Amino acid sequence: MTDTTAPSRKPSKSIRYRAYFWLMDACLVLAPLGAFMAIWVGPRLPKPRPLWFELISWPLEIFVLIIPVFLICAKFMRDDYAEGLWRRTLVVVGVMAAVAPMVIAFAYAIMGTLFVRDSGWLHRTYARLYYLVEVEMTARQAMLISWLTFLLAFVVIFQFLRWKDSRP
Amino acid sequence: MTNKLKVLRAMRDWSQADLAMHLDVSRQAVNAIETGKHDPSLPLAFRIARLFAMPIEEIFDDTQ
Repeated sequence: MTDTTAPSRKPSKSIRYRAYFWLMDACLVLAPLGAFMAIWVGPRLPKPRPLWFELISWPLEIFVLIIPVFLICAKFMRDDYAEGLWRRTLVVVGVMAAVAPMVIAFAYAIMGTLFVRDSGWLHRTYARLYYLVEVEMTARQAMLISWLTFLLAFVVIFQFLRWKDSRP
Repeated sequence: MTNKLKVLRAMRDWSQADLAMHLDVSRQAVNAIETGKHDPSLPLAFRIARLFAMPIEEIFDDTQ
C-alpha cells in the first residue's frame, strides 16, 4: 500500500547530510584563503609572526588541513547524492593526477624553450616564472604541497560538480 | 534516466524536503534525482519503490 502519511522526522541524519554540504561550502571559501595565508603571506612576515597573523591563520588552517580530510573520510555524513558526487570527484581527481604532471612538464618545456632561452624582454618577463617552476624543495615540502593540492582540488571539483548539477 | 518521482511526490502533496525525510536523504539528493542529474543507488531505488508501493521500472525509465 502506498505510504501517504506525514514524513517521519529524523533530524540528526538530515542535519548531518546538510552539515556535509555546509562544511564543503566553508572549505571552498576558507581553504584557498588559508593556503594563501600559509604559503604567500606567512613566509613574507618577520619572525616571530604578528599576533593578527596567528589569530587569522590558525582557524583558517583547520579548513585547509583538517576539514577536507574529514570530509573525504566521513562516509556517515554523506547521503546517496553526496556519495555519488564524492565518487565522481575522485574520478576527476584521478584523471587529473595522471594527466596534470604531463601537461605541466610540457608547458614548462615549451615555456623554457620559447621564452627563457631568448634574450630580449620576453626573457626578462618569463625568467621569473621559469625560476618559480624550477624551484627545488625537500621531499617533505613536495609531499605537503601535493597533499594540499589534492585536498583543494577535491573541494573545488566537488563543488563544481554540485553547482553543475544544480543548474536546470 | 527519466523518472516519475516529481509526479508521485506531487500526488501526495509532498515537498522535496518531505520526500527527502521519508527516504533518509538530503533535499539536494531528491532534487538531483528528479532532474535526472543523479541516478540513485540500487538500495535507494528500492526504498523509493517501497515508499510509493510501485515496481522500480514503473518509477524509473532507462529507455530514453
